[in-house]
Amino acid sequence: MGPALDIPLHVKYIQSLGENKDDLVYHLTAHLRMNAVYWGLTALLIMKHKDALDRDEMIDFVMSCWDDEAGGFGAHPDHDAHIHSTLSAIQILVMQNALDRVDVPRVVKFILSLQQDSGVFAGDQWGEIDTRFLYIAVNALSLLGHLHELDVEKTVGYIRRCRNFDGGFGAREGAESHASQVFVCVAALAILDRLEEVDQDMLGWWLAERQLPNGGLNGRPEKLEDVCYSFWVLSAMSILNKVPWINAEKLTAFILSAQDPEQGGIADRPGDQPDVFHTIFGVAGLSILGYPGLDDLDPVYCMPASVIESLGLRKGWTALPRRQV
Amino acid sequence: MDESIQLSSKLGQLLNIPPISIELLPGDGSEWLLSAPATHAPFLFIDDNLGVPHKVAYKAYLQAVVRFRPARLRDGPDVASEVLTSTAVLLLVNPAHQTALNARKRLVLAGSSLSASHELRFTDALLMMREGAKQSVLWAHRRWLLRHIYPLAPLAPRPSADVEPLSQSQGDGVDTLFGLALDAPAFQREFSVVERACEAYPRNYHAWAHRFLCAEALVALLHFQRASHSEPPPQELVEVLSEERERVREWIERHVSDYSAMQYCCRLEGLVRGCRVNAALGRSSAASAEVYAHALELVKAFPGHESLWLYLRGAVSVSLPFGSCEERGEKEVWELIGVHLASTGATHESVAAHAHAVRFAAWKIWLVRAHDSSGLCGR
Repeated sequence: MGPALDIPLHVKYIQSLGENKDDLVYHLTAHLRMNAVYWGLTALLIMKHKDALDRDEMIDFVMSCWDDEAGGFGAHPDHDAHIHSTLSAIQILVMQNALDRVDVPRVVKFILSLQQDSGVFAGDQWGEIDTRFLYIAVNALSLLGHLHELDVEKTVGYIRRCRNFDGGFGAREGAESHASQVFVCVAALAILDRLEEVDQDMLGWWLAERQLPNGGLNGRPEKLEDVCYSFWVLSAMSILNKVPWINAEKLTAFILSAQDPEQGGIADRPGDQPDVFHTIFGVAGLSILGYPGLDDLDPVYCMPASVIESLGLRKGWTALPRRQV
Repeated sequence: MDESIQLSSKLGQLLNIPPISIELLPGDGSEWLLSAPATHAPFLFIDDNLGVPHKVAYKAYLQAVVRFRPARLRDGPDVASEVLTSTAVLLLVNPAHQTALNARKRLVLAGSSLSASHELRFTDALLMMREGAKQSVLWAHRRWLLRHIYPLAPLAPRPSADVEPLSQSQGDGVDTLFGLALDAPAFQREFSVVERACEAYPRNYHAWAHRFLCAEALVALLHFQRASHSEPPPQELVEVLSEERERVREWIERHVSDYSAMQYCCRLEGLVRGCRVNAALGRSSAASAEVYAHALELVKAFPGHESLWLYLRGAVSVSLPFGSCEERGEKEVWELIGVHLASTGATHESVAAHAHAVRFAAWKIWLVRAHDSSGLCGR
């Protein structure tokens, strides 16, 4: 039968993450801190334990990362502003009902300034481009209620250029199809109501081929299974209304087997060290698969479905029905 | 000076030489250091190869965090050395530390403490390490530096309307090599750096993406860098391209699970086919038939590998716009599929080969149906 999802243990695990501020690991992950807080908070919400982390402390942390010169958020105080940490900050504040703390016009300006002529977005002033940043921009603008300021044709035009012969999408033109890049392109198109740009059968097939005999999903052909693909692949399938193309039972069992029964949290695969990244994406995957006891997750935004619905941003995705037991 | 500050200073200095290679060594390095010269202890520095024991690296990292914080946003020559030292240590242990990388870019821009070529060599060393090799920010950093080292090429204006108009950056801002006047040694160096990074971290996504950007830039130079389109493209660049196509196929033969290499190989063919370089390379439409034949030969030899069947799909896809399927050894492929579909073998390889053959057949049929209206394939 296998283990059940040990929600109380995972909640404790997430709570413990901020504790050892002198740890080497804490310093080595400072450049991801804002993202980590977003991952932790989202996981707690889906597991129905919103109050497990202090709201005021979290909001104060987010605001301490505001870079007033750039008009965006960094990952940690003393880290440069970047579009990725900016999105995570917005997502956290939305989930904490504290978006009023954000200087919305300045953030919108920062985001829009990063769009390039080709339609792709850079991550920051230094110019690295990636379809991830395009999705981040579209996601953030929609959460801030400023999507109307985006040049949609230009943005969609770039995604179209990244469509590969196998129906998948890469980080940029000429890049290999990769499940996480597929997710960002498909989710961006969903927000922009342009899913007709996707060859849905071909891509659905490519995504279904990510499932391995052990039930886990990989991100590219002949790579190892990894729990985080339970989100990247599954959410794309959900947006394409093709979750039934994946063997749900086997995937569920795989995710559950990657839990750490002692310290809590979920790892990339069974037996490895857990981390908050794989914890949220494992829980997110389980939610889409209808695992009992979890709240619905919106696969387009990777945030609670109720939050996205209340903002009027819900799109036409389908998840498996929530099982009662 | 405090002992631990001395540690990060010493390490920072060695890193900024820069070494030609850097390796993190297990533990505290005590076994190695017994026989190593004392000058660089607790580090190993032999023939420009730097060895840093893990435990020492972590101690130095924590110091570098403290030193970088005040230095990060200040300007001036006194701060430059602090930034150079602390960021080098930060990036050694944490090559994803984007803020440290940004600070080094600022130093390059300031013009005196760090040259772009020097920084490129430091990046070479970081990209040879497993953790460094997979960081997209380091590859973008590389391209940013190359744009500071090499001028833009004088690209000839489009003579005809047979290709889409593109600006010098293709509209991708600064994260591109398109239009840069890279020379043959520069391209060869980039392809080598990619290969080393793929050895350090197999299936290296961003390394292969970088390789494609280099190939695209190379083909663009061959296609456009002439005063008039009757002039032949520069021979040494033609040779680099020819060599690159050979190298990738050799790499594939040595790495039959490396789908990243295979999809790159197909894209390279697409680039070559899509421009006028073929004549210079002395090839015709036989070019993509070669990729197809290469893929088919490998699938026959190693039918249990999913990647090889996908390589075959890629080879078919890149050939499609250029010719009918009959030229592509259709018969051979269907025979091969037939063999595996009929197989009742129980070995892991036979079972896998059967599954891949089924999927390939389904894909082929789907493709025919999808292209039926354009009449590309008879079946």
